Amino acid sequence: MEYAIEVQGLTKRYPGFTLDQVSFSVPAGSIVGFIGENGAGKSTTIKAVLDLIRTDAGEISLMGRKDGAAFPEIKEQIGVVFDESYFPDNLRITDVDRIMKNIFRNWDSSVFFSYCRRFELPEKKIVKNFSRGMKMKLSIAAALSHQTKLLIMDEATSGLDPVVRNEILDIFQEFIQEEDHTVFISSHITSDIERIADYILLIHKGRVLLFEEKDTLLYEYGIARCTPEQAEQIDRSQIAGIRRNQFETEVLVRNAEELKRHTELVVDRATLEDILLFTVKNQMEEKV
Amino acid sequence: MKGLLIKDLCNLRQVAKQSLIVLAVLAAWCVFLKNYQLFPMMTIVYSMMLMFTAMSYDEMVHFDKYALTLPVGRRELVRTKYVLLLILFFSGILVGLLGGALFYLFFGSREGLVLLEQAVSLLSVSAVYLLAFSVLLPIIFRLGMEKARLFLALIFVVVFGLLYGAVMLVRSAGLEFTAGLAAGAVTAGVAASIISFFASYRISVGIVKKKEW
Repeated sequence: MEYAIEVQGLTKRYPGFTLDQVSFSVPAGSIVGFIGENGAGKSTTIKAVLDLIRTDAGEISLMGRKDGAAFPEIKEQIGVVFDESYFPDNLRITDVDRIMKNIFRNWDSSVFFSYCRRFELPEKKIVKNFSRGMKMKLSIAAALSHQTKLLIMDEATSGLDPVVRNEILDIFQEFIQEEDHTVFISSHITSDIERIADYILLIHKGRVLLFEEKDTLLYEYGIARCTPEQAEQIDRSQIAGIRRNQFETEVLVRNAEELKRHTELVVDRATLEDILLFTVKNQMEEKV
Repeated sequence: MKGLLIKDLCNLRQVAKQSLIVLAVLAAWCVFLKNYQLFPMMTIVYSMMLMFTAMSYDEMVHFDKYALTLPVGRRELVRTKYVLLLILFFSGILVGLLGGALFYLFFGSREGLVLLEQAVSLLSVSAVYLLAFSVLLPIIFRLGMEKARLFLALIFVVVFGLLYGAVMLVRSAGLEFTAGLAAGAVTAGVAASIISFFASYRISVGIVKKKEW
C-alpha cells in the first residue's frame, strides 16, 4: 500500500504539552479524519507534517519522500487549508490567481476560476469584504487548483454553517474520486468526519488513541445501556469507556455485535462523537 | 519569489492613492519652505516606510505560515522581503530625483546648491535609511511587526545618534569638515549600508530557518 503521509514516533515537547510518539500512515487515495479535543495535538501534528515547526524526534514522509515538506516539488502536489483564510485582505480573486500562477508550476487558472464561479465568489470584491464562508471557499479553491494530490486541512470547516460545510464536503468527495488523491482533515465536527472519512485517527493529550477504518470502527463499537451490575459482567478488555448517570450505565464496547448476540443487553450504534467522548473520558479517568 | 512579490505589490496598491496625496502634500510643503532638497529625502523615507505596511498586511493574516505550505522555501520568503526593500528604496530615490528635477525646472536652484551637494545629501539619507532597515528587518522577522515597531524609534535614534556622535567627534578633534572628508564619510556610510544589508539578509535567513509557526 502506498502512503501519502507517514509519521513515525513524532515527538514535540512544549512546556506543559508533549506530542508523544505519534505514529500513523495515511493511505493514498483515502480520506483520513483526524479528531480530538482542543489542545489534543491535532494542529501541532499538522504543523510538524508541513515542516512549520521543528520536531524533537520522529520521522515524517510526504508522498513517499522523507521530510517531504522541505521540498518544493513535493509541496507542488499538496494543498493546505487552515482554520482561517491567510490571504491578505486587499486581494481580489484575480490577484490570488496571478500570485499563485507565479508560485505553482502546475497552477490551473481555469480550474481556479471554475471553483470560484461554483462557490459564487465575487470577482470585484476584496478578501476583506468576504464572509468567513467565502474566505474558506477561496482557500479551498486555491488548494485544489494546482493538480493537487494531497489535501491537508486543519479545522477548515469549523465555524461554517451547515450549508457551506455540506457544499465543501461534497467538493472533497469529488476530489477523492481520483484514486491517487488523498485528504487528511482535522475537525472538531465529528459528524463531518463521519460523513466523509475512510479512516479515523483519534488523538488525546498528544498521544494517538486509535487509528482505524471508519466502517470497522462504527460496526464494532456500540453503546451498551445497562445497570452497574450488568456493566461489571462485560469483558473489561472490550470496554472503551463508561458513562454513568442516575438512570443507567452506558458502556462503549468494542465488540457490539458479539455482545448483541450473546447477551440481552440493549446495544446501540455508537457515533464517532460517542467514541471520541467515551474514549477521551476513559483516558482521563484512568489517569485520575 | 515573483508570486510573493506580486502579492506584496498588490497589498501596496491599496495605499497607492494615499501615497499620491502624501507626495502632493510633501511637494507643496517643499514649495512653501522653498526647500526643494527636502523632497527627494522625504520620498525615500516614505517609500521605505511602505515596507512596514507590506509586512503588517502579511502579519495580520499570518501569510508567512501559509506561504511555507506553498512551494516556497524559508530563504525565498526572506529574500522576497529584501528585494521588496530594494524596490521601495530605489523607487523612493527615483521619485525623489524626478520630483527634484521638476522643482529645478519650474523654480530653478534658488538655494544656490550645486547638483553634487544635493546628490551627496540624498546619498547620505539613503545610506542611513538602508542601514536602519538592515538593523530592523531581522528584528521584524524575529519578533513580528507589532513588537518590532517598538524598536523602530530606538533604532533610528541609535543610528542618527551614532552619526551625530561621529560628526561631533570629528569637530572636537579639531578637524575641519572639508568636502573631501564629507565625501569620504558618505562613501564609508554607503559601504557600511551595503555590507550591513547583506549581513542583515544572512541574519534574517538564520532567524527564519529556526522560526516556528
